[in-house]
Amino acid sequence: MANRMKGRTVLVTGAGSGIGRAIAELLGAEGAWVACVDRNLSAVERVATSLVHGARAIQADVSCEPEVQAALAVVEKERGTLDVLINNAGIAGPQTPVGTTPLDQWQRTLDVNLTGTFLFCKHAMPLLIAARGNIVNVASALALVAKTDEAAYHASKAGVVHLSKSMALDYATTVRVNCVCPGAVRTPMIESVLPQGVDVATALAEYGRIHPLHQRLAEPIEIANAVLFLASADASLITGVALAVDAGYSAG
Amino acid sequence: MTAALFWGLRRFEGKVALVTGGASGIGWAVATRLTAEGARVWICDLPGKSTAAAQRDSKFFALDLSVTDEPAIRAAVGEIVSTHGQLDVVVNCAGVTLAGAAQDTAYAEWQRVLDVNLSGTFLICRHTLPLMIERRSGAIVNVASDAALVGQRGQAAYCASKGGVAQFTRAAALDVAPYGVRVNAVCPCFVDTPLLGAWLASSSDPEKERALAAASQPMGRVGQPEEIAAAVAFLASAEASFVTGVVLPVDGGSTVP
Repeated sequence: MANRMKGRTVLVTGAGSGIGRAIAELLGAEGAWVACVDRNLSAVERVATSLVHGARAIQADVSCEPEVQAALAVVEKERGTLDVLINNAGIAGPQTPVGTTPLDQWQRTLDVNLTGTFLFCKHAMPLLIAARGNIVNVASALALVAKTDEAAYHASKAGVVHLSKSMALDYATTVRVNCVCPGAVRTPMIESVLPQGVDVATALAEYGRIHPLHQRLAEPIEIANAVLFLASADASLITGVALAVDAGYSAG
Repeated sequence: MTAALFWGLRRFEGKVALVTGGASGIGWAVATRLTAEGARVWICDLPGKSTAAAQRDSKFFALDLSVTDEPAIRAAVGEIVSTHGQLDVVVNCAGVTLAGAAQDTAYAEWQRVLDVNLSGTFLICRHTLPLMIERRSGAIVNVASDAALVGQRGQAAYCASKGGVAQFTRAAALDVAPYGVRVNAVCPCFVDTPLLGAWLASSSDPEKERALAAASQPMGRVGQPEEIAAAVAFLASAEASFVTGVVLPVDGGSTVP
């Protein structure tokens, strides 16, 4: 471990579990003070208390504008700055094709995955511009290639990629904006989309075989490592990219 | 950027790396970064250039090598393996530029650009991947270009060669994935290298050309070789364990619009 985030103020959404938790823990271990945002307060409190360079657990639904503004106000009051924003909060959405996707489930998927990212970017931008900071959005390999029965999720994540590219140009001289596009990762979310009644361990092992490299699910830390790179000074010339972290899934 | 700024990272401790085109520009920055992080680095470059680079800094191993010379590549890889018994990281930086529209490019010029940029990359991969496959580990990073992602006027052969490198990267990544070996590429934009300097010097007003090059980039500046090296180092390291078949722009957003 180095200190690539030394003295930095970072905000991670969806930090209570899965990839977001791994990001908060890694950036914290690299020296960052981390605002850990999640809908589940007790989960995110457990993460925040484990971080050694300072952290604050904040309860917020990313799709609710007043809650987003309140979360950022806490960071501004405590730190006076924000260097890195990680939009990681997301939901899997309905496992259905368009014809059988209920409007309310489509809307909820877009609200959390896409509008939630927009809201945090919008309200964090003044702080990020002042800090000449950067944003890393967690999209998905399914923003780059499609598969069946997940239309709302695909649309929301493709939206995140293109939103990121637009912001990368709008703020090119001040704030870098990038995405990571994970393949299938060992998280509570992936377990939630397995069919009812299957053996979880067997199903996850089978799921992992979609990846040409390793033939297994990604561990959350493998995604966090890519996020750390994009958020660090090592990526000073990188903006507007969608970095696949999917063991070759979208290459073929 | 100096070693002190690499946060004391040692991601390549105990690793052996080969960097083609390593005597100057991006290749030199890559060799410097990998060495600072603990790798033993072999710089391969055209006769004279690699030895001069090794004289500048004695921590490098140097080999004279044209990347289009297959017997020489075979011998070079053999020498590295007989010295260390391993080769963990290969970075293909050797490349040439050529200005010329599609309708004006002579066949011999086209051939030369394809030979160095595309066939050279293929040949180095062809003769190093078997070692990595055998050891079930290793990473290759190819230096493509923003010209691999978007068309650029007056660069037909160069665009074709770098587009070829990008597609070769994806295909090779799939071929060697079952053996735990990773292949990725970076796509730099204008970078402040001797190559760019020479290109600017050939214009009537180099300072004006430099300002125009910077202004043409969304970030308003050209890149530094160390910034490309930083991305190469990430892709070559174990921190990119789930990254393969990726063609990563390192271009200040120049291929976004």
